[in-house]
Amino acid sequence: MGEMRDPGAGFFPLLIGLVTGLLALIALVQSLREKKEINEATAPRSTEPFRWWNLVVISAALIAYALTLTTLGFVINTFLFMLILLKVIEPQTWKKAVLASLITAVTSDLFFNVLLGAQIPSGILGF
Amino acid sequence: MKINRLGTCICLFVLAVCVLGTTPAAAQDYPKGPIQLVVPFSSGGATDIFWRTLGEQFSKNLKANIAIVNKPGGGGIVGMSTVVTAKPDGYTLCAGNSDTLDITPLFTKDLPFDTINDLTYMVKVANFPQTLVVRTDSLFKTLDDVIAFARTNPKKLKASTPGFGTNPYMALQLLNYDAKAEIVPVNFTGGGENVTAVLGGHVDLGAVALPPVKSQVLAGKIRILAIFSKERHPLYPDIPTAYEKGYRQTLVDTGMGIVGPKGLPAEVIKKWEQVVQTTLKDPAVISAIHKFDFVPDYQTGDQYKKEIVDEFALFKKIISQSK
Amino acid sequence: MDILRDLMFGFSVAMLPMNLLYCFIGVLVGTLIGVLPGIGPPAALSLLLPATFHVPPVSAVILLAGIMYGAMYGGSTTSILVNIPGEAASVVTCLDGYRMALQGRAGAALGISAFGSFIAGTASIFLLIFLAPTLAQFALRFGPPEYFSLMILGLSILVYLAKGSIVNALIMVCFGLLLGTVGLDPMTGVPRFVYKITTLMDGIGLVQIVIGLFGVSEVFLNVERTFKQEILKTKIRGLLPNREDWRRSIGPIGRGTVIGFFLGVIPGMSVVIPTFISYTLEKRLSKHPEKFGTGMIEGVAGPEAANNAASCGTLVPMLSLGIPTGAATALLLGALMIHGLRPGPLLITESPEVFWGVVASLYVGNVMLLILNLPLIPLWVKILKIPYHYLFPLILLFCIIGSYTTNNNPYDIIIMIIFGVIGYVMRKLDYEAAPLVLALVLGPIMENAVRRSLVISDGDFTVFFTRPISAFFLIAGLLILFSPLLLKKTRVSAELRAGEE
Repeated sequence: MGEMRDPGAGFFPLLIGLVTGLLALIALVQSLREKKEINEATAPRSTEPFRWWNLVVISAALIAYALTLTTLGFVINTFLFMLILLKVIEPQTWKKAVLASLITAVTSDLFFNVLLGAQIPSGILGF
Repeated sequence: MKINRLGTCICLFVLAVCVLGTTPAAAQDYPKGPIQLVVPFSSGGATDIFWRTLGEQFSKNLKANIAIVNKPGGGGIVGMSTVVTAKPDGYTLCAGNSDTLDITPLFTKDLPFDTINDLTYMVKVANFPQTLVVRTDSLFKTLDDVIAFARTNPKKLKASTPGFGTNPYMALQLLNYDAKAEIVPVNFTGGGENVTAVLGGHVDLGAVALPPVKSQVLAGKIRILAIFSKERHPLYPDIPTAYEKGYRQTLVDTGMGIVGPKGLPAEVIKKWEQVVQTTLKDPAVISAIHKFDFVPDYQTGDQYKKEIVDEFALFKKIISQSK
Repeated sequence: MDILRDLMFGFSVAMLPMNLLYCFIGVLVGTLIGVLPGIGPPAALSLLLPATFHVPPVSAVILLAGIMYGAMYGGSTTSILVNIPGEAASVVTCLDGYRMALQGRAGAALGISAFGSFIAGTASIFLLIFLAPTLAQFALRFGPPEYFSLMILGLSILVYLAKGSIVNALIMVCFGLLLGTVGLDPMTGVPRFVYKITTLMDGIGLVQIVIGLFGVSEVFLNVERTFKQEILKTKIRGLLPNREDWRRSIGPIGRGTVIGFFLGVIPGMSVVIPTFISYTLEKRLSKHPEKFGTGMIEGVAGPEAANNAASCGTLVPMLSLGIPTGAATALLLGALMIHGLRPGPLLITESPEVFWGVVASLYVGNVMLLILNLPLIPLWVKILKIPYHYLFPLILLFCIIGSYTTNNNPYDIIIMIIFGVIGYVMRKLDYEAAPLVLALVLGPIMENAVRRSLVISDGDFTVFFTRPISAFFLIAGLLILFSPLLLKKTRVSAELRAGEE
């Protein structure tokens, strides 16, 4: 933890931890006190169904993108990513989805890798 | 109809993979294609600029394109770790700074790889020196002044460094050990903050690498007291080295070399050694390197490795004794 | 006057057709890159630095300066349109800018942002020309104790950022501070919260956090139910700021410029901080502070001016002393070095055409940017009309690219996703992201500052009070913290008196 002359690495985190704990207690107490007003305030905003599935798919697609980027390369990865999102969330026709994904993948590759010289990986197929 | 098209696509895809994903080229024809050199520091820094400039030269002599990829982080560890796991075919290499190789493992446990044993040391290219500086209006005019004061006033002098575990930091510790002084390091983040601290008079001394401080020296704002190399710098023959003043252990140059994954074929290493040796003989290249205040230093892969191993042992000894 | 003559000389260099061309390319490319989420001036510069190798020195610096400025102008575009900060400093613009866009006033927001940046930029350049040497010397007097006190001042301002519950905001501050400690401790090399994950060794990237918290979480929120078409169908009310907007924005722009420029001069001061300060100041000065966060144009004008002015301010130490003040200026310095120029006190005497040429080109660049950006506004606004089911994958794609290209590390994308989820949860639970971001930036600076101060002073705490600049900031910070109590007392007693009558 270090001494006053040379505060160590653990000093700051410990301090923050203590303060956070204190604040959390305050927040807890506050929320307990407000319990009576909660029921009126939580009228649902919308009568539409909550689409959990959308969030899961998007998260999964994002994670998959991150993991496969170096193997598949930017162009293929982007293409697949766009395709999945366009088909699953608000389903488009195959033609529109494939076309949009293709255009996006190719133009972004041109823009980022070729024009800007970004170093987004090319994957095993060489592009 | 749909299934047919899909089937055709799949077949073409598989075929493409087979054709393009060929086995690595035979080492005798190295290099057959572009080589990726990972620079484990961010773009625009001294290290990055050095490698970009030299990279172009090496490309010419290697007759292959060298693509520089910046992967900063962890003082070089992040970028290097991606090369450790790459295929040992000579097409993915890493620019190695000596701090990453022999200082970081000293202070950071649980590194994702072993810097000495998990890498192939290919060739060393240059050094850049570390210095001890003061503001020009400081009372200390020579290294002797500083040491004399430090010996009689332990822990009173404060010297800024670009960070814990950097080469200047090690230089300071070595000096403390050699001179039996106790100068307290104040660790900043990077050369910029380091120089600013000295210029602003917030510390008494600075342990700085040469490049960041050069323009201040030329403008007369900062004075270099000593260089921590073995020999005097060719461009600054007036500046004494700590070594010549009797501090035999205080030798800290940041070495710049190229490393690759373990198990690189000997032909690849040989090729690089040849190319570097030839390139460093070119006077235009030498003067370009001098412009950065680096000093060309060609070493073969084995010599390079030995240098790092020895330095590591030395640092280890000093650090354990100064605790 | 000597300066005028030098300036004329500078303009003669900057207006050379070749340099004009480079300037234009720089600002154009800079703007396009800046528009991309997470890619701000530092990233833009590092992407394009290699391209400048074969360009003559003065032109190269003009090109890079243009890129820096352009990236800064572009950064606010995505903040306003889709709630993704184009760069860390544009986070604050998201708060009110995006709300304005939702109300159909994206054009006004973009417009005032462009104009504000232009005015701030122009003013800053003049401040730079006349004040550079003095300011640079002043900046050097900032040592660790001064930084600490300044950060305390910054944190005390945080209290006013909170829209809702102060306790929640403070929890976010603590969370931000904690996140800032992740990585190798710079002073002792001890890994904190790294858990052997290599990517975390340098800490969690600000860019990834910000893109995740603001951009990705926004996508999540919009996707929960079938797309609320109301967002997109809101009529676009006017493409440029109207007279009322101007009236309200002139003050914030002026104040933002001053705050931004003078704070930007301080080495190591992130450009993010002045934007937060400007926002909070405008909120404090406004007659309707509670409306901030719902689309107040002052909340866009001030911070954008501060942003631009601060970037200009960071050039002061760089040009006059050769000291890098942050990532962007470090890159500019590197570029100067590659071209054999020697940044530092001698630059102005050794290579006056570089110094004055760059300064003049900053002004030219500013003009170009304004001319470039204004016609683009209708185009940007049209982007909002793209059906969301096409738009959101694009948004996510750009978020990914922005997160990845900082370090060429795919795990940064994962960090972005994690913070996207965290941001989503935070929005649901009414926790605000802005205090977290500010704490994330302030925390490390503050912690390092206090530790270094104590090493230098041998453990003596009074060092923060005995140094004049440091004492000034500390007292200011305390005043700001306690001023609501003082003000409340006067307001309450006024109300009581009014009630009694």
